[in-house]
Amino acid sequence: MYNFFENLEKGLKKSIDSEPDKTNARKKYSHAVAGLGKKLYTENEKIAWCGALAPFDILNAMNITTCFVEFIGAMLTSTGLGESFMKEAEDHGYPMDSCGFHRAVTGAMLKNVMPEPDFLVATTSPCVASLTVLENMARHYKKELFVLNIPQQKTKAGIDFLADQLEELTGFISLKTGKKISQDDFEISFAHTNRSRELMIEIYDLAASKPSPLNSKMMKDFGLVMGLFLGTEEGVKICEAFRDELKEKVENNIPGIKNERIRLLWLHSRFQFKNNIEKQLAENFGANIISDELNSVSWKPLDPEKPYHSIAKRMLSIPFVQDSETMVNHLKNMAEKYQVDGVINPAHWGCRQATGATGMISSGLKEIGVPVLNLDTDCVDTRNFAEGQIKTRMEAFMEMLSNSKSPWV
Amino acid sequence: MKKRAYAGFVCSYTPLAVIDAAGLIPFRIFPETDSPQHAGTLLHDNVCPHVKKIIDRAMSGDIPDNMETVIFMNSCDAMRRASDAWKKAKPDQKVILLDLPQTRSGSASAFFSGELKRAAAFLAPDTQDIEAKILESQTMLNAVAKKINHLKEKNRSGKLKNGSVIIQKAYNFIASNPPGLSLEYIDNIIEEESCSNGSKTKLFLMGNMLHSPEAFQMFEDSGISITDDDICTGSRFISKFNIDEKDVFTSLADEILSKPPCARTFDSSSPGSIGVELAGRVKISGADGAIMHVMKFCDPYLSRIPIIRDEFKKQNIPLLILEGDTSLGSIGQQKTRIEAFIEMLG
Repeated sequence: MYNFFENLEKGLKKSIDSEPDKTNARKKYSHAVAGLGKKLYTENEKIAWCGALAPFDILNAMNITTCFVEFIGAMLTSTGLGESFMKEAEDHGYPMDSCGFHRAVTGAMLKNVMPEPDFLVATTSPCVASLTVLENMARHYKKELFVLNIPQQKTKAGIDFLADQLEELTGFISLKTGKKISQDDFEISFAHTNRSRELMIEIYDLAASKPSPLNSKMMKDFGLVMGLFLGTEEGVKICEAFRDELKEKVENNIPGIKNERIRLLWLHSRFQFKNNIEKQLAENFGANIISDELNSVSWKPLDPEKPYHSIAKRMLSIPFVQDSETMVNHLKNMAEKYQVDGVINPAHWGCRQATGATGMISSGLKEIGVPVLNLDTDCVDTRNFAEGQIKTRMEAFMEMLSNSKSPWV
Repeated sequence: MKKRAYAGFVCSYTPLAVIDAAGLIPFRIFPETDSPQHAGTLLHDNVCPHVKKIIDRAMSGDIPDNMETVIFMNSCDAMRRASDAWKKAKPDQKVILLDLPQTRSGSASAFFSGELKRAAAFLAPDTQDIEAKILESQTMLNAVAKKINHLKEKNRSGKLKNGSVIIQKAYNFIASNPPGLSLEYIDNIIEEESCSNGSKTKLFLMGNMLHSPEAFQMFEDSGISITDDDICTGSRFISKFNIDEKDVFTSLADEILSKPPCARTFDSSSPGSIGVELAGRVKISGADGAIMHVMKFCDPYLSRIPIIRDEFKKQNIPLLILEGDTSLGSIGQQKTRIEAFIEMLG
């Protein structure tokens, strides 16, 4: 895996350097992701496997190389190796009804192709399944596991509870690494996070332009993966690259795709295996995925004077942590902001958190005239991805949208 | 006199003492209904059958008329979505979701204690001296737990005919009656039932939901006696709690978080210990093996099956794993496997 990430990083660097005047944010982002992958497989790095809502700003400030387990599941799938790892997990008794992201990473653990962590940090949200994967990994590697209990209610009691645990977590990491986090570390890390936050708001505003300067692939899974770079200068640079590219396109009226006719919001996760759905949507229907569910900023700037409470508030502000009504209202706001004509929800098999609200999301968005296409499919396991059926349903949805009046007229 | 209203609940972590202290009768909304299956219109079909069936009940009105409140525990992804779906299906009912930490620690107990106070204020906003009432209710529930243990002991010694069925019926009675009535109910059983159960294969039952007495009758008819259990609708739902009268909420929170955990709660300092813990309980119960009944789509259990299976293999404890939808129909389909398992045990 080290070689894979190293080659990927080198290839992207070469491509970026060959066209220094061209701003290609996605390549820079992919380069950073490949660099992170390489670091995860580099000896002598301090590694922590985490839940998706772990406080990556703190981990980065404490020089921990880290990522959430679903990221590895997605990477394995994108390289075409996902299925063999999922089968490995299934052979050990992990059922196909469980999440494919988690099965892939579990299989990689069982085949010993995951880098051994120094410790693990689980988060009880967004899903219980991620927690169980990290528990299994802690057992497998005989490493300590820290669990962040994330309540659903964003009340003072909930914030205090989470803030206390975050403070405990820094103590735990200090014990593991010998490094303590100082006020200066918080100042620097939070300055990067807050700058990234400002840029992300700018990016999302630019993406909402009509026509959008994005194409469907440009910001794919951006909001989720960007979490890994919070608190770092690299994160700021990635955001600057996207902001600059989008700004230039908007100022020069360069659309992301030709003849944008249908604007879409994509929920949960994109398909992580190779597919040409986005391309076909654009070519055949002028349909453009303007935003992903997690491409949004729901939190206020972090305050280095109150580091743990700031991060706790951010974690609890993430819509999928909260109840379905809050989540649906958030999606309604996104639909309005991006003026989308329709929403695609790939109801990822095995994900109770995301698919559990499928019906409520559909009816909520219907209230504002935005139709939702619910696909019973899998974002990583191609064995649960009936390509022909998915394409037929998408085509029917696009035809319906093409013949419908925009909800925003 | 106005009949006491019910407070609906669905999870074994629900604080029954708080419901009783609030002057309400607990009502466990079992996943058992003839209602049409339309929960998928609010949720999704890959959510566990427990949650889908209780939402079917809400959507069809298959609940008591005088049930004005429902308590959900934030025990897993499906359950928190169930709370949301219930609000959609029954917008006139008062619904509360209590956050339940997944690991035990000092801060977790303190936080959960606050959640229990929130539950008390929600269920009984005008009740004076609620802590004293909770203490009183828990004392009664402790007596119920003690009597259940007495029944189990009787069953283990072969002196309770059809013991597995009788005990499950008692659990189901406790789930939807005030503790005082539950005590009377069990006392009557203890007095009446005292004949031999014959020679049966002793098995430990574990997993999540299995409440149907008919399923337990099938076990008995197949020559099985359940020596003890670790299921949501069995021993995990009624336990003896030691309450400190000086700090009722904190001690209740601590006790609830310390009781034998379901798969969603675990000790982070000992990851994967569920297998060792369950194997230990099987041995203590004197069982010859174990049946694990797991609901389809239940992530906490599904992802721990390999650990449990490996540990049981290591300790030479025969284990039969069944996957079902909590209904009698689904367990009935497994009858042949159950019988083969017993034959294998000899």
